[in-house]
Amino acid sequence: MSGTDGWVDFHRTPAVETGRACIRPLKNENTTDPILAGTLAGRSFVTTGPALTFSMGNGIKSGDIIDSGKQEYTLNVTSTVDSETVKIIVNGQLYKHLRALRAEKQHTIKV
Amino acid sequence: MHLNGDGHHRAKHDDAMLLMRGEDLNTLAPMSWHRWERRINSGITGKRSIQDAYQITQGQEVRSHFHGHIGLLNLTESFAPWFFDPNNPVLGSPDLSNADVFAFAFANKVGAFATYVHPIGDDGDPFAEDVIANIPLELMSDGVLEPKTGLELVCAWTSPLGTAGIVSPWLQCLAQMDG
Repeated sequence: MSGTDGWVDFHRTPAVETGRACIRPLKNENTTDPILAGTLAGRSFVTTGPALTFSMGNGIKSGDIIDSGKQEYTLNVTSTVDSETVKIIVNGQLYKHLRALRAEKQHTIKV
Repeated sequence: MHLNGDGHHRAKHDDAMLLMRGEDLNTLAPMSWHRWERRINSGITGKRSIQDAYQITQGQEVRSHFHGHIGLLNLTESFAPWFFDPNNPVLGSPDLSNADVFAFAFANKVGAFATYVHPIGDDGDPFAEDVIANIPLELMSDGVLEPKTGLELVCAWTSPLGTAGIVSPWLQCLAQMDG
C-alpha cells in the first residue's frame, strides 16, 4: 500500500499523490471494485515517482504466483530524475544492485 | 491521505477531485481522521464520489499510538473508539487492541481491509536492537494471524526501506506457520 498522510484542507502538506500505488485492476465474477481487488491481490507497485514494472517468465507480473526455483525476469525502470540505486531483493536477500540509472530513459534489466 | 484535519478550510470530496485531476490520480481513499475527541468527517465514512475517471472512497484511520495506526478501506461505518491506548484519554474500555480493529474490518460486519500505516520511520534494519521497539506493537502478530493485512510501504514521512525490511520476516513467519 502507498500513501502520503497529508490533508486536503491544509495548504502546506505533500501533494495527494506523493506516494502512490499503480494497480492492475482485477475483474472477475466476485469483484465489485476491480481496483480494490487488484490492490488486495498485490497486482501493483508503489512509488514516489519512478515507474518499476517487473515481470517474470511466461508473463508473470506483480501479485501473480509462480513456481519456486530459478526464473527469468525483466525489470523496467523509468524515472524523471536520476536513480542512485536500484536493488533487486529475493526472499529478503540482496540479489542485484544497480547504480546510477539516468533519468528520462527506460532501463530494461533482464536475466 | 486525509480529507480534513481541522485545517484552513473544511474540504469536501469535490476539493479532493481538483487535486486528483492536477496530479493525474484516479483513485483516492482518504481516511477520516480524528483530532482527539473531534471525529472529523465521521459523517462521510463510506461515502463514494465519482467524477469521470476519478473516484474517492472515504475510509477511516484508527489511531492507537500504542498499538500502531490502522487505515481502513471499503467501509460502510466507522470503527469506534477512534483511538485507544494506555497513555491517551479512554473512550470506553481500555482493553482494546488492533485485533479488535481487524475483527471489525473482517469478521461478520463490514468487509473492510485493514492496513498498518506509516509503520517504520528509519531506513535501517527495523529489527536492530536499538530500534526494534519502534515496530508497531501488534504489526508482526496481526500480519501473521489475520487473513489479510496491508502494509503502507511508501508514505511521505516514513521509510520505505525500513518498512520493506518487515516484509521478508513476515513472510518467513507465515511460511513457518503454514508448514
